Amino acid sequence: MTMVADTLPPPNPIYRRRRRMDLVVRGLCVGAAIFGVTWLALILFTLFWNGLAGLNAQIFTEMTPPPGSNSGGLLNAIVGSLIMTGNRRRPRRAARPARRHLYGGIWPA
Amino acid sequence: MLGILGGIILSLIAGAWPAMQTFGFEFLWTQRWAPSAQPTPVLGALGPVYGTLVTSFIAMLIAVPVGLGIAIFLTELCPQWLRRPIAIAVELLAGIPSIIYGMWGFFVLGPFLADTFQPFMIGIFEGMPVLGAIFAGPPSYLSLFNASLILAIMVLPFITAVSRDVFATVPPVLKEAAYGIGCTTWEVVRNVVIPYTRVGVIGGVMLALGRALGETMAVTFIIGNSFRISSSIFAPGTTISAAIASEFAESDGVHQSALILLGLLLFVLTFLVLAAARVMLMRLEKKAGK
Repeated sequence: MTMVADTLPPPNPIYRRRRRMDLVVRGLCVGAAIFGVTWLALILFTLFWNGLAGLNAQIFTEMTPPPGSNSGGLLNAIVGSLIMTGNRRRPRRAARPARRHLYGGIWPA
Repeated sequence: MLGILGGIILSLIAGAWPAMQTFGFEFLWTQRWAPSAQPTPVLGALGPVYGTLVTSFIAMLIAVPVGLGIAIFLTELCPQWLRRPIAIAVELLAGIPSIIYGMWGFFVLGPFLADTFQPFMIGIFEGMPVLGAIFAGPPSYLSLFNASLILAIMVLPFITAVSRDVFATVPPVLKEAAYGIGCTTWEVVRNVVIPYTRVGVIGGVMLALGRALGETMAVTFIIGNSFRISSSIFAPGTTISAAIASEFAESDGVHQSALILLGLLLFVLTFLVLAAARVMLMRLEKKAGK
């Protein structure tokens, strides 16, 4: 659909200007997409890089320890999140992106 | 639903009443925030209100062009097989908890910006009349700009998802007709897609703005919690929600009441911004002759 503008040599100044404008905007759009995806990659990378090292079975089976002790996990925090989310009103089917309602239960601002 | 809303407003007003009586309207344009000043606390909302407006404004300045750009890329330019992965990746940004954004901003983004981007901008704009004051040093890990950038990333998926959905509603006939008379992709977007979907796009932007105004946790982490207003966006500041989050737990008496009044103010602010957007939208529609 858009190939015509790419392949024909621009015959006069107006065409050239329109084509240049088009290329600039397209470049910016691609740049925006890269920009957006980069943030996700950076954040996920940091999370996994630092998070996986601390992951073990204790996290899911033991309570949060008092300050200073070496053992313990995050069981109470995990169960708490589950209980609060479970108690929320079920996402209405009509509310379009229903999964966002679920997110809302787990990590609101 | 309305009952809940009314109840929230009523309890906010009730909680804020002592502060209203103590400070009156001066609360709105006092910058000083001194909960333990003698003989009475001096509290003013100017710093947090300024911070809220500035961070949201900068966030939208970044997020709206980028969000629209991604939406255009996804609907007009992107090869079919790449569309879903990119769309999902951008929407995943909405699924990252705000506390993660806050921690990431604190540990990774803040130091990075303070070491590279901020000195660079400060160097460029040094000595210029207005811009020099906006981009003034020293660089800092915790600043209005860092908070704005995090906010921009957080609201990006709202703008992109909504715009992409409404862009997809443009009848192919219209687009093909435009391409058929030789329009470039940009001209099709500019003259067919955007006019057709303007109301929906603005709706998405408003949704994003609403989130930016009220965002709490991520901003609290990285804005520095300083009530002094500085002309530089690289200086620490605070927002209404960040001030409430960081001080509410250890407040009492008039201080606590003032924080509740801040909350009420945020409510009013959000309402005003959204109302202004509605009015703008109605003007646009009138101009378009609908």
